[in-house]
Amino acid sequence: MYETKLETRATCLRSVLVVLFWLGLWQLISVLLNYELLLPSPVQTAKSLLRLMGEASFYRNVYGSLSRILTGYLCAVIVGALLGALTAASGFFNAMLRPLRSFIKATPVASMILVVVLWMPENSMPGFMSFLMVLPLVWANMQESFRAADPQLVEMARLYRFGRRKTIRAVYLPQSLPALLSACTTGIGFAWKAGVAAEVLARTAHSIGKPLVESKSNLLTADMFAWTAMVVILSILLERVFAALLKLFLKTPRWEGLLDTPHKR
Amino acid sequence: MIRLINVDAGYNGQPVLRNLSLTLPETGVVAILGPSGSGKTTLLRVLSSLLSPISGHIEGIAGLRVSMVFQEDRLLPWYTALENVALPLRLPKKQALAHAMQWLAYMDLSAFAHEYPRALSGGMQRRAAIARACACPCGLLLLDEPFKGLDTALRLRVMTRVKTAAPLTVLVTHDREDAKLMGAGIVELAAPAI
Repeated sequence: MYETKLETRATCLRSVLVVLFWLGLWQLISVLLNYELLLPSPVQTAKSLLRLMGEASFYRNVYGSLSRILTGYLCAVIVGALLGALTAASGFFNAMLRPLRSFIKATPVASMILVVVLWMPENSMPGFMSFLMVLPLVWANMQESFRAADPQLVEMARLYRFGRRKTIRAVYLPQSLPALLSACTTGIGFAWKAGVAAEVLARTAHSIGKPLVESKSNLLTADMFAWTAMVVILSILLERVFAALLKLFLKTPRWEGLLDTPHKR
Repeated sequence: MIRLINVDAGYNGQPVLRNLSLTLPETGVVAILGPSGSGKTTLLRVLSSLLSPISGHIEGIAGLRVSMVFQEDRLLPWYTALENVALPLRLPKKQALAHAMQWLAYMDLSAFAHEYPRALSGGMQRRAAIARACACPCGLLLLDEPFKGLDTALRLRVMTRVKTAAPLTVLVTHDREDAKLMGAGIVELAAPAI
């Protein structure tokens, strides 16, 4: 117990030292360059961030980005899971839909944004881009895990005539959860990056992307850095919150040990 | 009455059971004995319709509801023992749980009904699998080495209940004593041809 506490303290201290090292390096380079327009110091960036945080529009922008991107993300998780199950179960649908998944996966984010901006209102575009980034990830993981479901359990369900719905609910879905959760964890960072990039290119109103690009146009480099810092902070926060929720979920007796896949012992 | 006529069955086109003809009674217990590789489990898989014969005919299993204790327990790890037993039942939830609970009690597992399989010992998991198979109303109960790992006293108690679970029970075992205790008619499968 005491050793664990000591280890936790040591880890915390190390993290703080790492952050201080990089901030120090940034400060040093900015002092050496001495050109705020090119590289504002961490202190100037922090001041800009604090000033921006004092404005009501800051929160409106953050809320706008978060709601749009998370909506796209959640839709991608639901649609990706359904498509994963469908394409695992049906060879026909797999053959039909596989090219679509490959296309979405292979197309660069920037070109996709430029195409989608022609078709969609600027307000919906970032959410849609987040959706497109996460969709193939969840879809592929879900499809793979459905295919890798323990054949003995599937056979047991067949013998007891569970029927399709009960088999999916009781046998396939629980076995797919680790893959789905892993895709969700990775996807949240993808969704955030693609969503903000889309906001920048589409100059979406009430978003982080618009003031980010405006600060660049107005040569307010410190503001640009502050918004970028905000994007990074929110990305880390989202991942942490998701990881914490996941941990809580996996601590419940039903799902405890799920990631160890005890059925495959 | 179930009849197998000149049945060949196996895997990847390679028969394990060759030219088997067998008639099973309508009621009672039949024990299938035989050395390893003689096709005991394959026979159960054919009877359960999980495996189609390569050739030959089977009469009397169409539409028959079959329950089975597999060689492995095959419990779903994310459900409790009670939920695992209740899951195959086609009853309203409350009734299904009550019926499942009764079978867990028969298996001396009442106190562990709300435990997940990982918290149960090997013998307890086995009994939960037996409870699941027996709780499910069926015309044919198939048992593949069901009493592995159960001590004698427990084995006798479990057997008494298992015998009442279905009109016809087919037991695969290596243990002649198990067959005797179940009061089973014996069918011996020949050693595999080398």
